[in-house]
Amino acid sequence: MPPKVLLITDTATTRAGWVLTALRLMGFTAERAYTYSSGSEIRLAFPNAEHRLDIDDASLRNRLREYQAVLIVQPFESYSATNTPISYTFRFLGWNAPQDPPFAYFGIHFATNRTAIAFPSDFPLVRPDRANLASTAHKIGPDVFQAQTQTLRVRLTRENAECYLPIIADREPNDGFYVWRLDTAAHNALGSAGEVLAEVIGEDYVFDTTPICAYRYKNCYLLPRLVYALEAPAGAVNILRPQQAFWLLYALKCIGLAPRHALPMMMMLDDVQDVGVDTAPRFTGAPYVNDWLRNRLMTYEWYATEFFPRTQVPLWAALTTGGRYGTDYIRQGAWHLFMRGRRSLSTDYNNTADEALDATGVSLAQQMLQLFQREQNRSMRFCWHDHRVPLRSARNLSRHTDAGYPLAAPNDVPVWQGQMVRKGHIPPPANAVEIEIDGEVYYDIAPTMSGSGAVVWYEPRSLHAVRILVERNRAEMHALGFADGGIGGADRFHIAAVTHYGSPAVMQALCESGVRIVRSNIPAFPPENTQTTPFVPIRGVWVWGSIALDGQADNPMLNSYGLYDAANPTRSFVGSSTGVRDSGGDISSIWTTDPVRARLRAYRRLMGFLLDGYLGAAVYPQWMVFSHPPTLLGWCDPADPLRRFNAEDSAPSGSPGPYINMLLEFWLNFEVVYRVLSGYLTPATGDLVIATRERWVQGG
Amino acid sequence: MSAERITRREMLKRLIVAPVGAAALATLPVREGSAATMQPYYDPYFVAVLWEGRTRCDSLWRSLKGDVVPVLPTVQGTTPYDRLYWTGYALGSAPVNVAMRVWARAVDHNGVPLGNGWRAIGQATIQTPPQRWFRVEIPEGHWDEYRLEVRSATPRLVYSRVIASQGYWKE
Amino acid sequence: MPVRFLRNASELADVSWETPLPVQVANAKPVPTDTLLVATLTVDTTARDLLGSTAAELPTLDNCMQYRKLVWLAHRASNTAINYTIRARATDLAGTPLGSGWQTLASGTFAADPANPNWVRLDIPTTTDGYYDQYRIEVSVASGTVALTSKIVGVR
Repeated sequence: MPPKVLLITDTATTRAGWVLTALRLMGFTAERAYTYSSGSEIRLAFPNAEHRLDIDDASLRNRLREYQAVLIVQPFESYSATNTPISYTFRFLGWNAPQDPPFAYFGIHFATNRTAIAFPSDFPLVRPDRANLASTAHKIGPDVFQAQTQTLRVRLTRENAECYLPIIADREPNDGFYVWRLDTAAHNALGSAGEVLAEVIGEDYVFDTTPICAYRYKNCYLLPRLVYALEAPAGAVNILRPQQAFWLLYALKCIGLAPRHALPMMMMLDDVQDVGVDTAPRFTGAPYVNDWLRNRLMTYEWYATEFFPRTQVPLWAALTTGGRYGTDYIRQGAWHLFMRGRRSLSTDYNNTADEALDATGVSLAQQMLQLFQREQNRSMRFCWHDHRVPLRSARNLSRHTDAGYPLAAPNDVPVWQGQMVRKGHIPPPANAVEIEIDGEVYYDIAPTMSGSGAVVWYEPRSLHAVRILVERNRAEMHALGFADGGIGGADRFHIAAVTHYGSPAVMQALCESGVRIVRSNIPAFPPENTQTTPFVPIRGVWVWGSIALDGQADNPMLNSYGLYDAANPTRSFVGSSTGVRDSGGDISSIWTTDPVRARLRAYRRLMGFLLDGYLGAAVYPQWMVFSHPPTLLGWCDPADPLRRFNAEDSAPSGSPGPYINMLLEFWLNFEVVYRVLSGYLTPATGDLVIATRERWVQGG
Repeated sequence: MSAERITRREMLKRLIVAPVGAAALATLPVREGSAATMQPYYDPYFVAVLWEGRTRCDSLWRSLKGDVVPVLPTVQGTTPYDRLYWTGYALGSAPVNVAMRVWARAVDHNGVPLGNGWRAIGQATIQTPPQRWFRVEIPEGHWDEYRLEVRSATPRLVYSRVIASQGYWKE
Repeated sequence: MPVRFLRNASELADVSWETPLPVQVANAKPVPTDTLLVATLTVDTTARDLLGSTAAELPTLDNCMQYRKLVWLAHRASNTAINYTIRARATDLAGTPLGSGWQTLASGTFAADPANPNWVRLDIPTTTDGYYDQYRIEVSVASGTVALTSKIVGVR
């Protein structure tokens, strides 16, 4: 019998779809109830009953005892909300018998203006007083409702682990976000009935006492909020990405509810070999070509030899292809870098400007390729990723010429279907090929043939042309040393360049090559004249959407300039989203005058941005998140690319800010969180990813 | 009716086409007549009993299950069915005058309603002699949940079934 | 040779319409319906599809050929009239539309209705069978906005 969890929301339209979905994916039976007022009564509406919340109702208490946990969420309240129906759930603070379930409150504020329910006299957290928040709560950030803005360094006391976590809890409108103060005397008097679960460590903010952002009072857990999309129904495909999912999983862990299924987790990089196309270092002595090569190589080596052995979390990565065949091959991409020893100098795939690597560069590039070849099916999985002919294109396609493949030049093969008639409905025609489409066999009568020429016309509407494109990329990957032809090894995935989808025929061709998972776009791009869906496989392939978590907002082929660069803001993390990362200029305005504080603030928001993105995709698996290496690896210390970030480092002359290996820092923070949530997260495999998606859609 | 051996499935199909006392949803055309003309075009191929039981009707609008809580459904998981039927009879000896109404709504992947409230499907009044079967057709199918409510000025005990079918229309 | 079975423990009966084999079909299930879409949209005065797109050639749903009809079930946050246009078209075997444009199946309004202020429903198509490959479902209001939460179920 799977554990039964009740989720209480503040109103009927807070459907909490993603929370219920996450619970169900993990194997819990989850139900939703909601509070509402009816005349003078406050009621709690279950799917099959109603109880009063404004009185001490024994039947409600008995009903709640059926559940192994009761989670209470609300989407947007601030301190200005007083005795709303959801606030009556604080009645449960007094239901502490052994038969009562654990209650977990996600950001339901308990300020003094909530008077409907009398709090227990031994409640050990100071109740915030709006008239004096400075003394009764701790402000952690400006009034920006985003997980990354409100990410601080946190000590989880049970695990004795420190990590960066988003901790949106209480909100004072037009002011900012707050967490709690401990009433130390009351807390001490509780003994083992009170437990600080998470403390906030002030770095750029200085707190007069240690703020608390998670606490257990007897069988009641007070935690930060679950953020965004709580009004959306389960299965909704056009929602904001859920935030602060960490606290949902951590609550279950603290309560002691183990999941039947863990959520699969992988890291993901697109154009993993990309060293960047910048034509000049940011300043004299700044990282440049060989430094970029070295920092990619060393970071990926670190992943393979340190991160993966400790976590077993694989890196799913796209190697940029389309750089080998024909005369219009792209200069960006793996073949040009590894096999010709050259790198592109342009962000335009049609621009042929490039330059040769020097001997050191060639050696570093070779080592990177050898690392990838070694790690395929070990710590990493690689797939092809054609930027010359993205899946939706309509353009010339240069066939490959490698021997031993049926569709290579100069073989005369179909390129464009002719008349299509289902087999069995007409006598076998002359001049026809049999073609299987979606499980049915058709006669393709008088298809357009390629002749012996190398160049054919590609459009996603032609299954023949798509098969040629797929084979060309498989040949390129074979030649690069990947025996599986670049389908992610045993995990069988494809990461579509430019997040294109193409058509159902493209999905069929990918499926024929062994692919079962495609990261594309949900919904599809308008010009694709087709639509993707997460609910059913399309010709054998399940489709995911894509969310980029890049360290800078400029072209992703350009190397980052670190946490902040006032002269080139969009090439730096903070300057790429000032509303969220630099609210009121709280970093940029002190970047030179109070540099250590500014850097610490920027760093923690970067950690929150990346961590929260990955966890949000894990709990509601409609999308996969990924990054482009230049945006996170562009600013590593040339002398020591794996050196840990130090906010007190002096920046070299002319440099906008200290060096930072953003991927390394993220992965190290993630590793701590992953260990904390072990049992709830598990290394991804293709099978697990598909099984999770199948469980997700079973409800409908 | 002569005794014959039939499968339960067949029996349920026949319930759908059996002659009944006059009862129809107020918003829809009345279906009268014998089995041959009752359902000339709709051919059910799968039929299920969703609920069966007794309801004590009184002056309050009660779900067939007896509750007066408006948010609670009577039957759930009804998405595959294109029509529902409510069929039953009233016990006792007095003439029957039972009002009924049907509500419906959709839910998301976790069974949570897309919104509050219900869609009104229709209403009907059962006025038959006692102990006589009635049948009400609910032709608007494919909702996820339905709430069927009954009310009677004179308290009555009603024994009824909610049946759902999948079928197709034959020309 | 007809198939025969022992009836009433003593008499042989031929299998026929009047005397079927006395077996019970176990675990019979209804033909499943598929949930194809769950989405919330802020409907405004611009005609956009249920996923929010104004791109006229972009379908809302694809790969719908196996469904006899779609059922559009929705909840609107307020009793506001919502205009809808349902378009459909077929595609070739590669999933590409046979041509540009659409066949308009239906055009109408979920009128403001005190009897049904929130829940609305439309069968697509209303009367005949569907089996189209792609559908585009557009909505708009005359003024203001209203939140519309939709679920579309494919019926075989």
